[in-house]
Amino acid sequence: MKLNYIIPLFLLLLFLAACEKDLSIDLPTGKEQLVVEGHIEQGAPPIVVLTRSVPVFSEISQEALQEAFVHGAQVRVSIAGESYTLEERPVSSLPAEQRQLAALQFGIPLEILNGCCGFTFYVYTTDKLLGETGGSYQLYINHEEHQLSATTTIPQLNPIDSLWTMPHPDPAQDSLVSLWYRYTDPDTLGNSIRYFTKRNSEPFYPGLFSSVFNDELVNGGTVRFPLDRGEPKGQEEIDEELYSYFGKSDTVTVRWAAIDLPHFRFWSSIENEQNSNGSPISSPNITQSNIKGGLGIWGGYGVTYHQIVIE
Amino acid sequence: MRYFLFIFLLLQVLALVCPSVYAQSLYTLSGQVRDALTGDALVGASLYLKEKPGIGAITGPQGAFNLSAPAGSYTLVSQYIGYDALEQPLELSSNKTLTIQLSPTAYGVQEVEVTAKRTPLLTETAALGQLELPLETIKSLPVLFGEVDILKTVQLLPGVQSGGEGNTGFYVRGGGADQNLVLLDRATIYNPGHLFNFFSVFNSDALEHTTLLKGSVPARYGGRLSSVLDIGMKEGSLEDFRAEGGIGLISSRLTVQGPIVPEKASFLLSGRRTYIDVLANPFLKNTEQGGVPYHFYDLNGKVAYTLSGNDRLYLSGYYGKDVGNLKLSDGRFSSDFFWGNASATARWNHRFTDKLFMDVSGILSQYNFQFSWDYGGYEAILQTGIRDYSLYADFDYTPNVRHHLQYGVQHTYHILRPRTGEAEGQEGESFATDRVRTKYAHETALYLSDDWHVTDKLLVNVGLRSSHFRQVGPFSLYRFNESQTVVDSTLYSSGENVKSYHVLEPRASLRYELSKQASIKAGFTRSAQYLHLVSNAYTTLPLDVWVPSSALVEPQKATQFALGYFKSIKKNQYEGSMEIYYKDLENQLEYREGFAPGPSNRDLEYEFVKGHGESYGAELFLRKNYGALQGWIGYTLSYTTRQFPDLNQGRVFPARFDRRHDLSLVASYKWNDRWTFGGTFVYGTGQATTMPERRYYIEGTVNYQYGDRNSFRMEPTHRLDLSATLKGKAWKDVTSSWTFSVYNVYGRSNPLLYYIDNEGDAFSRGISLQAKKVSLIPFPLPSVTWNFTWK
Repeated sequence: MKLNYIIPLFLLLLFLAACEKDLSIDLPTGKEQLVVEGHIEQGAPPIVVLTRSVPVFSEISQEALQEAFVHGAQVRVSIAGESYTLEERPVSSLPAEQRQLAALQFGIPLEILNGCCGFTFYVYTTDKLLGETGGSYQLYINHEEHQLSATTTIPQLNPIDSLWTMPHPDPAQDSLVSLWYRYTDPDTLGNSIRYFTKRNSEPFYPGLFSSVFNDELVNGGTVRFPLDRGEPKGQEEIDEELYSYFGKSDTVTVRWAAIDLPHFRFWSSIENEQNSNGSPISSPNITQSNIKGGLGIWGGYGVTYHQIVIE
Repeated sequence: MRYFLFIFLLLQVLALVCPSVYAQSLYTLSGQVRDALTGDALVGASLYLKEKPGIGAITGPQGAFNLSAPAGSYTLVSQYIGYDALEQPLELSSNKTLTIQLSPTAYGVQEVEVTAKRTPLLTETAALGQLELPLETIKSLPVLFGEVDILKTVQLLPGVQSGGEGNTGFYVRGGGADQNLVLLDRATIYNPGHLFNFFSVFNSDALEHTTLLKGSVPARYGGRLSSVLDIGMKEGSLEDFRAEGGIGLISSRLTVQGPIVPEKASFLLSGRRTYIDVLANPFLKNTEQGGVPYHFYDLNGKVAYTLSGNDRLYLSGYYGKDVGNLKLSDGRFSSDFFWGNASATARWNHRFTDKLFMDVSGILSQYNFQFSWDYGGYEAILQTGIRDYSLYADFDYTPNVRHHLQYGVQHTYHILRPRTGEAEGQEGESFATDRVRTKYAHETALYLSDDWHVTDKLLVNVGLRSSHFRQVGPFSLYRFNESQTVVDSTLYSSGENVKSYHVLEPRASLRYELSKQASIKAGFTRSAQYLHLVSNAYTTLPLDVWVPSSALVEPQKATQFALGYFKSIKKNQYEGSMEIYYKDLENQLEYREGFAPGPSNRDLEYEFVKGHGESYGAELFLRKNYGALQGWIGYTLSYTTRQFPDLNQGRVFPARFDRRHDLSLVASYKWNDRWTFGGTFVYGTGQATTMPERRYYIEGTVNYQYGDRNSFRMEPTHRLDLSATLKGKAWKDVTSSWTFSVYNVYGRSNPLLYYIDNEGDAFSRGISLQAKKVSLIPFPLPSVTWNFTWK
């Protein structure tokens, strides 16, 4: 499970003595690729964000961000021989429920999706298709010279057995608790999970260093383990005192999503790359995309929600 | 293989039955060359007859030599780098044994005078790319944290590239880090680094000689493609008890030696330990860690016993460990870890006749890594390791003045524990990497080589090594589908043959003497490697795994061609060489794209991809051997590439250690009887690395689209280190010295790696991007060490 991250973390600690300096370098601008960020979950329509990659040190601005959206692409999703065309829409024009889902799936604050700041967030979607567990969905995208394709499944649901809390190891910190879960893995190999947590009315955040698990080592077994609190990504500094803990009287909701193996590999490799960026003990790691002809992810979620009120 | 075995046995019989078939009037001079002060054996010393310069020898292990010549009166010239040459009359009318004692130049009473005509060492043998490192010179060079380090000195030789700042890892002529055979008294040291390779495991006080072989590796060495670093431990003194040691910034050392049975048996014991933990812990008692939870140590020991005039016995061993523990998250996570090597060598030298010597060794070699931790109610353990049991029988036979044969048989039984993990929860639930199991293999080799003096000018060395590798059960060969479910498996029972490989490894080199001071050499080497270590990181790590050739991985192979010109100037005060080489590497291994390390229930071999490597270059070397100023200049121009069908879209890419220019300047200057100064300067072309070219967002955070593999160059590295050694005045039987050194004198910030740091998220807080350079020691780092000798 999370042991994958303990070893690099430990090795990293030993290298803390290393010194860093800012550097000015010219990087080649490479070749533009299309980036897919698309999800489908049970009972909800597919939503696909299509952007293009930009040179690393190109302009950072709202305009540049807006320009990264790819417009006018042909986007289709097919299941069992039926094909559905996804239409390009500003998220602000979607029903509230889908706006909520987009905010959750793409980790974007809802007010931005609502078009609060003069920014329009475009997605490709359709209201004619709703995801079903066990379904296998093919995505096809055509745009100019780019032809992209990908397949994902919405796995059968694999819910948590139970949630409970344990006190902070330091008795002085009696307002903090850690969240634990018990999960029984089905007796087939390849079951994978991505989790998110939500504290009270905050948005859902995925696990910060590691949001995915896979049953390669625990297949068919029952696991009891701490579940770190999800946090917003890209924070300047993490509050180590509070990291992973929940507070007394928090209402905690866990979004527990079954994912297929290629979807697991995408998050696992992207998180590994983010965690080890700048570490002398690892080399650049290429994110394992499931998109043929492009970058990013086309991933299905089989979602269950679990709630606990911490007393 | 069978024919080879037949030839081997025939040779053995011939050597024993007809020792004088060819050489009715030849007599043999054999013996040892030793340091006149310490009694240490000198390996790599050269001897020749002044009247017949074509007849000579180079001392081997334990400083032993033998040469054959017709009866007559001669002058025997003996010399060794860093020592005064010695000329002595030799009356050869029967077989003779002689112990020759040479005095170190640096400790000579008078200023060195070069009187003897010295034949050059580099120009003498047929071997290319073979360099002896004089330990006395190494000890006067500046070092990091005051720790004298053989491996860091090896990196200063041409054709050898360092594994990075402060790192003991090295790459030879475009080969990977696992392609160097590091031997200590013939036992393989699988992980020769402490503290992530900041320090090597070799305590220089316990060492006698270090030889690097990177060109034409003799047929008696095998199992690695790029180089052999042959390190020998010192023998204890036969005359009296002695002690030497030192106190440095991070560690202290103590070596004691002396006779067990006068003139017959001696011992040497040497230890080193870091003590930052001991010093700092009282001050850190109340912190979460409770102190510096880490230390390492090394122990070396050797017993030498002269059984008779014809038999000598050696027992030697090494044991070293890195030990530590770690606590995180208010003690919710706690762990203990260690890793280390151990080796033991039992060796028997026997002289059958003056022309036939035998060396039989039984060797144990092992490396273990263990990391155990307690977190989330689970107790878990992660382990990897390797253990070898070897038996070698090597023979040295000189049928006549024109031929010198070496042949033997070597067998090693490898037991390799891959990275395995187990975890057990409080409710008794347990998980294990049960599909990752220990592997077993037998490696056998027969070899024969001949140094053939075709004419006085032409020396040819031809050799053949026939190696055989057999993976045996128990073993389970799995086939997996996309979801990593086993779809097929083949089970092999204990001892059952799983997969075997046989490689013929011919080697040839020749030396043609253009004049007494110059020669040209050419060489061809074919070699095979059956054990592999693939590393994804900037340095090899203690938890990297050695894997055998098996049903899953084929042996690596290499073919090397080399050509060199060797010259000695001013009676060998200076010697220089220029070598060019071309090396072709087959079945090179890397991790597949996107591989992320972590516990897995599949053998690591499933994550490997296979490809082809190529390296070529030119090396220049100029060394000053004698006088107050000694040192060398080494320069390498090289090109190293890799091509893998499954990496970089099948396109050729530079290897990570591809370095266009590599320059080393090394000097030591003896100013007077008390002060000696040392300095090194290194320059290397920037390391090849893979950098992001474009960026995109996933869940609002930055991700990178990378450019071609290793297509970006970091800035060049260069560094100057200086040292000064002050010899103290003798006090009773104790002499001592202070060594002051400064690493990175002008504070160059050499890059270890580049990366693009990013913060924030695209849609709410905005992002910031900054390229960063990580350096390990970008400032001058002074150190001081006090050394003493008691006699």
